[in-house]
Amino acid sequence: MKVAFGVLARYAEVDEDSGLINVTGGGVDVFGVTRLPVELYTRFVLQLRYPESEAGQLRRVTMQVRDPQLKIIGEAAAFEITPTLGQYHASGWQGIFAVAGTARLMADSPGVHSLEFRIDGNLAGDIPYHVVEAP
Amino acid sequence: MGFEDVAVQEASTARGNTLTVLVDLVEGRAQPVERGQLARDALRAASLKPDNVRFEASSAA
Repeated sequence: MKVAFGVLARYAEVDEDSGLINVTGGGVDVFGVTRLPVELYTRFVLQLRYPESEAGQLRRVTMQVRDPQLKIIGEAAAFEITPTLGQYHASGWQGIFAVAGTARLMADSPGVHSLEFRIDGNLAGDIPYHVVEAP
Repeated sequence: MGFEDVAVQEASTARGNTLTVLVDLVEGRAQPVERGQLARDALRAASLKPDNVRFEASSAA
């Protein structure tokens, strides 16, 4: 299972009935903050893709933040998913799982950070973002 | 407004092929929320921009 795409946004949600992702202000990758250290909230969406053979298997998705020195800051958080092939799945296609959420992050210093996603401990994707001071 | 102020109904596991989740990478916890309006309300409530964030933008700007 891999992250096919992931973006930060001003707002994001996933429609459970259609599986579609609704995004407003997608592609946020710069945060102007009045002071450091800072806590900030961001919305995110992920589309995960996986081989058919992995359907029905429990997966543990872990998120964590790396600072400009690639050091993990804050605390990692994890949630579990068990993807299933949807009713419109075509044989031979990859399965799809959509995640939308709000994340509380922290930053101690200006510079490029990375929101990192691991699935069962393996790096599956990341979303970089830049924290700039804007007093 | 923070996560502690958001009343959500916890889901034991993700159902189907979508998930709404509140993730706290300061305290180190993730909280899946149930389907439907409750999940949308929780997301919106937790989406308020705090005073210490001046702007959000894209580097494409």
